[in-house]
Amino acid sequence: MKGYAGKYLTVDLTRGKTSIGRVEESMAINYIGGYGFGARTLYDMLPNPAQIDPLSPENVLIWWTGPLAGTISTAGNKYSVFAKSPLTGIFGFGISSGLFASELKSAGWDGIFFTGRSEKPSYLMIDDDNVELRDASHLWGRTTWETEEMIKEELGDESFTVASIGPAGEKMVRLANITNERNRQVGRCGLGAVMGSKNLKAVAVRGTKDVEVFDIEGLVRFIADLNERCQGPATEKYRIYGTPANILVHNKLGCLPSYNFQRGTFEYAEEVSGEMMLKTHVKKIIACAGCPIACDHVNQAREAYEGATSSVDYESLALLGPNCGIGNLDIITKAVEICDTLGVDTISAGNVIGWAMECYEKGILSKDETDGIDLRFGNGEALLEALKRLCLKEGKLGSLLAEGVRRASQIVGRGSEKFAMHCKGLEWAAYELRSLQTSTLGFAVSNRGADYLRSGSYQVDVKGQVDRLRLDRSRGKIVYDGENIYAIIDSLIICKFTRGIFKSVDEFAKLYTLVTGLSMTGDQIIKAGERIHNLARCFNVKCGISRKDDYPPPRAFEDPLPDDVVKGAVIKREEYDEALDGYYECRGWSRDGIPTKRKLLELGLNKEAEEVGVEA
Amino acid sequence: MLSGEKSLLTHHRVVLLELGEVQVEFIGRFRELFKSKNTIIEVGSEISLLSLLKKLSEKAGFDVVSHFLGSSGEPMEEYSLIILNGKAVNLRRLSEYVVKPGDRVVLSPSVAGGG
Repeated sequence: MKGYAGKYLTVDLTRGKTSIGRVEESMAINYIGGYGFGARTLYDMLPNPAQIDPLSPENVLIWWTGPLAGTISTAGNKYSVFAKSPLTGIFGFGISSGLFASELKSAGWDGIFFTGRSEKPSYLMIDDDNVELRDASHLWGRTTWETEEMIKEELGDESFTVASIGPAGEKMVRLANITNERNRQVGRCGLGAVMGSKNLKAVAVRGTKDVEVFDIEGLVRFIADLNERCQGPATEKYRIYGTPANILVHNKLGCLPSYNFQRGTFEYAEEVSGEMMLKTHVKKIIACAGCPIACDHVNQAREAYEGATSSVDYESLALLGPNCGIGNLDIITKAVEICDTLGVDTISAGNVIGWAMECYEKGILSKDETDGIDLRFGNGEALLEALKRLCLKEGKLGSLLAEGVRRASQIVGRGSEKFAMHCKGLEWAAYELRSLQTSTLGFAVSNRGADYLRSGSYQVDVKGQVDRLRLDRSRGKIVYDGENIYAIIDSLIICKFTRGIFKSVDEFAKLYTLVTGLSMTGDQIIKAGERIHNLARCFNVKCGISRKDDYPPPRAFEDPLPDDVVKGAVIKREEYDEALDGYYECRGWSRDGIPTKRKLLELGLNKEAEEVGVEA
Repeated sequence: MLSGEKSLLTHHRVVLLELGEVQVEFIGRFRELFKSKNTIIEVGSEISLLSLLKKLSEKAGFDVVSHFLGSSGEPMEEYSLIILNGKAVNLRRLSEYVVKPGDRVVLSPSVAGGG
């Protein structure tokens, strides 16, 4: 088979040994790559996940590319990382872009598995077939940006691509991410903390080999067509404003979270809009390898924060801006820079600080508990100071925030759990819950926790295709269909910004076959998507997940939105239950959210049917 | 304020509407196209949303409808969005929506996200 390198590297950090594994054709056909490979291998490598402390040497850290990485495929240069998440305690998963994936594939590797724990700080260097664990003691404590520069200098070649953790990952902050090429992150689920727990500072890779594809002429023709479509209307919004274009749209729809999701509009939306950002702060717009869209808008701050530079997308902007009451692009640019360099997820960080601000304003957190910081909504200096403390686990406030919003609210108590905005421990992203109710169902049933990237179910809400202020049984099918397609996208791995240019799932299958030479139809690839999703759910069931965990936080049911355009919007519990039933029915799961033996056997998941499946 | 006028607070300024007028706001590329954040359209007692777009086309000098419907009348939901009184409009039913004086209409690019 082509496209794949056909092998992966296993690094036993405890013993300092490496070995090589083969990627079999059956694995490729059934699980595609990326998300699918991660679900398969995480399930197999952690047979009793409930017993595993995510920050212990017993956890594994798995990296996979997809079949398209390193080829000319449109926006297909992505890699994915998996572990049991220290933030959620379940299936942990993140994807990043840039050049890293194509370098890894060009070096001859589809993936890397890390097991155990290194005795001292180390980093992995991959130079084609030459693999070496190197001392990273001198890098410990360095930011991600410094680490990248120092490793390149040490290896004497700028063409090495580096993925690393910052001080937050080293200190096992549960929101810690992994950064490559300064601005690209494996952001969610705290996988940077797993790296830190293994004393693994970075992975540096350089590849010089060709990645072979099955039908080069057919692929060139198809990609030329896709690239031309990429210049069309479906991706225009990403090219001009990037995802910050969402700020004003969401504000008009009453679905822009502000003040820790107390509201769905923000009075300073214009000041932090994509339109304003492009006019006043965007320094350059850059693209990932092989991407004709170029969505990445890099900001440069001004005035008191001059010199701060960061790549600001919608999620970072909304959570560190309106959700914390901040209406100033200079402060937001600086806040994102702190997150990127010290190494935490901007979404989770903005969410948990928004929660802490609400606690402070309600008198639940005292000034003593915030280490003297006046943590009011809208106080930019307080936001920046709280962020630094979070990343470095400094003081009472930093230690609390570093736990993530679920644990932090459980520690503080006093009713703060009711407005801790998460699901399954993962902080809610910047889509308001009560004014985008199909989206909320999609977030809540996701395998990662509150996840905006698993089904795209917000699309029917914002396109006016359904009544977004209520739910019914039919929404389950919308989420189910979206999840299966997104599972394919995340397994191939393709950038979701290109999803609008594919005419049907048959084109995903066609792309797969052109690259790999393996026969695949649209029906088969959709079935693979369903298989992958079920496999990840089986892992979660082993961790104790069931229906009780597939609900949004209490605020969604109890606090009606006050904003004019969506005034009084709240989720009715009976409607949510009905929609959830509809979702489980489509999935072929029990009413308690457990995959049935019948469904798992139908998908060829025989071992899982035995271990996890229930009777219908 | 004169009798019969209505105020809308938009972007820190008050827009005074005469009877029979609707304010249309622009987001993203529509601001570039119209070279403004908003405009006012006379609609009489009521008008369909499709007719409002045609009136906007006359005023702007370019085909506004083509930003929402393709050459065969297919909705271009991946491209553009209309928000009427805070609700996203189903582009398949543009002629069914009724716009009345004082309503709030927003022309916007579609929502982007999820890399």
